Amino acid sequence: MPVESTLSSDGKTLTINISGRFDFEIVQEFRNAYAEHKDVDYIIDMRATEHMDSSALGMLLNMRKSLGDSAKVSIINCRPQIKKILTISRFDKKFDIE
Amino acid sequence: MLSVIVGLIAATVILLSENIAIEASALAVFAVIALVSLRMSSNKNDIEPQPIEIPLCEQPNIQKAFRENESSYESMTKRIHSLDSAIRNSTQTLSSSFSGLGSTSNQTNHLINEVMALVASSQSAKTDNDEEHISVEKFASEVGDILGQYVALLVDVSEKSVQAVHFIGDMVNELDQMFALLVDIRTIAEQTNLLALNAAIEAARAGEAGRGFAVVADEVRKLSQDTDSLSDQIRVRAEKTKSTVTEVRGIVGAIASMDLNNAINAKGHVDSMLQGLEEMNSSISSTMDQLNSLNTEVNHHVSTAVQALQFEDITTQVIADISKNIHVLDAVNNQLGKICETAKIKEDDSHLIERLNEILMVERRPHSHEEPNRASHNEGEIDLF
Repeated sequence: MPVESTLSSDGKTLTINISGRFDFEIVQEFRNAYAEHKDVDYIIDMRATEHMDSSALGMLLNMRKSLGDSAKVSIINCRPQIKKILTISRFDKKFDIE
Repeated sequence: MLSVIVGLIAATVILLSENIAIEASALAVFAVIALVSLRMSSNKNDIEPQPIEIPLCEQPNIQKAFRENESSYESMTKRIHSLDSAIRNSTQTLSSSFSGLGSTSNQTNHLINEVMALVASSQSAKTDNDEEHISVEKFASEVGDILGQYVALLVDVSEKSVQAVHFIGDMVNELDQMFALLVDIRTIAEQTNLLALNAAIEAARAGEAGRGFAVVADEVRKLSQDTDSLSDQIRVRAEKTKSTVTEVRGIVGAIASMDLNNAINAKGHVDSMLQGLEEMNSSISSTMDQLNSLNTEVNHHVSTAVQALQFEDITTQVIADISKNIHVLDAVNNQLGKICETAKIKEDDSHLIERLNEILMVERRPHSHEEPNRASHNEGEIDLF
């Protein structure tokens, strides 16, 4: 499964792992992953993400829109090229990027 | 008389400090001779045995030595004058070349300031609205801005497209629920059909009385069949809708999916280019600063050198002193010559004259060979000794 979500044991943090390509193919899976859990902290782990295109940025922005600005969303373990994309698109203002 | 001798010795000592030691030694010998001769003339009356005396004027070398000394003083004066003028010329040349160096370094300073102004103006051009003056920095920063806008546009389009895809997904969900409802309608129609069938059977069993009821049952059965076919038609249409919507979803997805790598790389290139330009400008600035301080140093050295060139005054003074001393020596020499014309020397002391001849022979020669280029020195006359 390219998208796998795991809820922490205390039920407060949802980690979404994305492996392979983060693109339009997984638009529904990604939406389902965060839509199923409300009022938690979200961590998007990109350690296995090899590539992302503009639709991934669109998905992340829609996630932010649907969760609201108050929700805490972190993006972690980005590869250099993906981090570059996120920085140049100014995503560091909307998400915590580590 | 003693005072004359002391004066002579003093004049000799003055000369000893310069490179004209030969003249000094000659003078010393003359002084001794004069002393001896004058002593003898003064003691003549006191001493009983009259020694044999030779008039000094009869000694040919003594007269020649006086003449030679005279011409030596003349040539020394000339050489000192030429030394003086050589020092003056060199000093003038050095002065003018140092002032030339100073003005060159000032020009260099000027050029450096021009370059600095150029660098500064190209840096400030970013804020200028001057259309004619487009610097590389301005162009690069414009390209960077446009790329940034392009990336922002792509992200915006993707965001809206993904939003549309989400709505399409919701719509497909609705359609799927509609299909479930259509299945329910179909079930109801089938059950109605079965009921109508049962009603027809019951009507047949009732015989003549159920004939009218059989007609109703038949109509109900037809209605259930119509409902079934209608729900079928709705299902076909809804399926068509669903496939169309799925196609739209694919198209919107394609709009959403743009490869960002080229834009990101280009943006990175522009950024590093701008950074490189900035670094180049700052390195030019620092180099120019270094050049400026080097120039200041050169100016400082030049002014020190110009100050040092004032030694000319000192040398001129020293040369004037030497000239004066030579004049005094010349006069002394003249006077000694006149004294020698009437003076006499004891035969016993003739070795003093021989010593003088030796000195003249030995001491003159190396001096004349040391500086043969000095035109004022008459070599032919010296060769006579």
